Amino acid sequence: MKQIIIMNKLDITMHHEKFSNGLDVYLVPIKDKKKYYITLGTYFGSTTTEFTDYKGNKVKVPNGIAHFLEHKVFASKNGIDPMSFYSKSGTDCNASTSYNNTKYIVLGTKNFKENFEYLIDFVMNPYFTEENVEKEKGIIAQEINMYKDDPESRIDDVLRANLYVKNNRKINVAGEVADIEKITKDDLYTCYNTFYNPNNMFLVIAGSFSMKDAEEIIKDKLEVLMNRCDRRGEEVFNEPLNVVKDYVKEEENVLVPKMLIGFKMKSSDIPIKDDAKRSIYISAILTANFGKTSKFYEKMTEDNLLSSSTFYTERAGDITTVYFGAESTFPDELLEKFKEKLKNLKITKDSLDRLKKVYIASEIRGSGYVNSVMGSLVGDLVRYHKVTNAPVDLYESLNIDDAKKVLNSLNFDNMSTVIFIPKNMKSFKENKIEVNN
Amino acid sequence: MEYLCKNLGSYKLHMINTNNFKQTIVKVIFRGPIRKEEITIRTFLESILFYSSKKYNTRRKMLIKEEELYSAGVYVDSRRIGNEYETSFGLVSLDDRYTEKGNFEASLEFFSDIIKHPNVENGKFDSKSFNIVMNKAALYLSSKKEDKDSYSIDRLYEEMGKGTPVSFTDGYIEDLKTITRESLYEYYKKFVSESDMDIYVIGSMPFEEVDPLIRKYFRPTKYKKRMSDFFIKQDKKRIKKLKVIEEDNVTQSKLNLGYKLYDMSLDEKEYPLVLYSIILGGGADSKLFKDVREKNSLCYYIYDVINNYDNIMRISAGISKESYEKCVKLINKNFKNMEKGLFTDEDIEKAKEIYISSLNNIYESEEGIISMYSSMDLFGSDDIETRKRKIRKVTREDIVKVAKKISLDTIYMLEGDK
Repeated sequence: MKQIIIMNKLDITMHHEKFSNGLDVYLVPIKDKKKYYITLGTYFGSTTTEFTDYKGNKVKVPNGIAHFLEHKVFASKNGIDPMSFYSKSGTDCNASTSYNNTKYIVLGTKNFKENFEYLIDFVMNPYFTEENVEKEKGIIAQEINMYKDDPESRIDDVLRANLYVKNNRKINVAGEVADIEKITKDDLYTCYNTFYNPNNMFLVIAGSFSMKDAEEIIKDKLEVLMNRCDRRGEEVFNEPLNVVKDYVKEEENVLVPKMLIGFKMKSSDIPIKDDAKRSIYISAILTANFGKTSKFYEKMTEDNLLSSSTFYTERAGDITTVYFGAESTFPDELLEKFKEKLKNLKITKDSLDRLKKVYIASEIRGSGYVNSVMGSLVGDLVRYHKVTNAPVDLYESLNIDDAKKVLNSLNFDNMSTVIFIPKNMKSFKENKIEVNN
Repeated sequence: MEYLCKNLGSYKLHMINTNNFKQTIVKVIFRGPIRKEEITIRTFLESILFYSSKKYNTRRKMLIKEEELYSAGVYVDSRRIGNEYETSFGLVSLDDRYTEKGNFEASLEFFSDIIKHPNVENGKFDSKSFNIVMNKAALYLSSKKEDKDSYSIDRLYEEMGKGTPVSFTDGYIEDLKTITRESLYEYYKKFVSESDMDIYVIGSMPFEEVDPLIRKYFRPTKYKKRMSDFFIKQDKKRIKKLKVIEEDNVTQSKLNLGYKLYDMSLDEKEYPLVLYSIILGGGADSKLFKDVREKNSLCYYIYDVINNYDNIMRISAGISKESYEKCVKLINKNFKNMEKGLFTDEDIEKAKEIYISSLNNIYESEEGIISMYSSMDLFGSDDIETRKRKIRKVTREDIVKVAKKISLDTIYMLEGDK
């Protein structure tokens, strides 16, 4: 199935093809650019640790394995490692692992053909040995430790553990040092063979490149790949709505108190079928009520209850999770105000129209940069397994009646809060400045 | 892409015409000699100017106006370039072809108004905005240590650059306490009248339309430009290297090594030194990464970074406390190998390709393009084509020659025992 999609109002043409082996390919040439950006990804991330493998056996693998595997995919049999290959043409190559996907990326300005071919070669031809697996453990342990010192990732870890009952989003992507110590070469092959199959993978190329070269390489090297098993790696956990713990306050290595709140909702309780649209409505409602142009935000800042805040949504199977994070000298007071406000959310046509302008402007601006085009396409793929063809039209279609319906359906009962306070709260308060002007 | 620069007296107007993006960016840059005692008040001023203005006198009103202008973005950036500060006020405005005619001019008016008419009454900044910005600044300054990476880097520079701008951070809590609404306004007047000014505009609008619009909202006056000296000269070599170990409650220890560059010309810094830095610690194919991470599994990240204006280099890695001796030894070994020329011709060629590719990437963002023209204007740096030509000519001897002009000065480690 081949499709040419003209992304309305963005001057971007996207060539989409789903091959018979199941591989999903998006090619997006962008004119006047010097750079190309390739992403080859699999829908296999850290949450999948118990599954039926490619041989049909039920297996359980250690936490953190998807990320470990990502590191080791860079190992190669012939000794030329990808980093060394790519630096010959001054090309960047990197990879990242998330809850439900792993991505390998190449960014360059020349040698497109060779670089693209090499990406396929190294990702599709793994080489794991006992020795190279052991060696990686020290490196990944340092990576895990680095995040342990970062309060933002710490509070995220703690909240997820309190929020999710079954879904492995309760465990951080890299796992713990004790988990990765257990990983063996065989575990890596099991995961690789089960999830690195064309029917579980996607390819996106954006920027300046020759369509002809890209299509030829895809034909020669990707279209011919066979699947070792049916598609695996969906995130199915039958996650209940209830949370594990609804409130935790701990002394941590922070200097300003931090708060992170999560709400679990059933996606099907919200009367918008389309996943992308539903999440935009939720964000719009939150922005209108808690964002920087809201009266709530203004009041909280003036009362010195809030110094910065963020919110975002996450799709975890059929659960939609909404996060609200804040820094505040008085987190418990802020929490009370926040809960009060939740009982009385509003959205007006004016504020929705303003937000539509903001969303559309940002979509158009982004379409001028290769990185941001890649970011939105891959973002859609990993969240929805499909791409929004006409994002501007999608935003334009938002209307106040649907927004109100969504607002009325939001249920904030299943909530978990984590607060980190400084070890020495007293000394923190002493350091506060009294302003008397 | 076309570039045109006009000296209008009180500022230089730099116009760049390109169709590669869908928005127009205006950057108003102020520059002047850096003084430690002014850092905090200048940062404060930068925040409060973009917090509210005379016309949009609350944060909320100002942000709503931005949204109405198709999400016009206004922002402020500041950095130190050697002996000078540089404060940039920016406007990002979606092209009129996607909005409606006049949206850019309306955004420009809004933007210039923020800079020219702050929220001041009777010689004092508005108290509401002042208190909020003060609280935020106090919170920021008192919680900086939370980011262990940047804290440990600040601490290295404090130790190695004592008494020079190298040691300056982005603000001091003691100085914050002395700022009043009056003193802030006094500083505002000094800042706008005494700083050097440049304006950059990049977008698809033709020069003949940009020029009068900018003159209308930023009226040029007569002004004689002062001479500026950006570069900090490093002359005193430390006989005994300084070693500072600070304990903290961290899981991972942060190791930072500070080096000084002696008597290096701008050309040496812009060519052989760049290759030196890429080969030694410029990424996943560098000597340090290969040895310390891949071969010895001692860290997840290790890299070097050079500051041309300060004449210093830093090597940083996140390690476990026990491997301190081993890491320092390996870093020293790789550093010495550079002096001895122990790297291959292929290493040099690869580093050249990486550099050339980074030059090509400059065209991918407006910020990159502005900063390229700005360094040509301020330091006399070469244009991209000349840079490509010159980098190809760099030899092994050139790299070894700069390697010998670098010397270790200070080792700083933030040590954890968690």
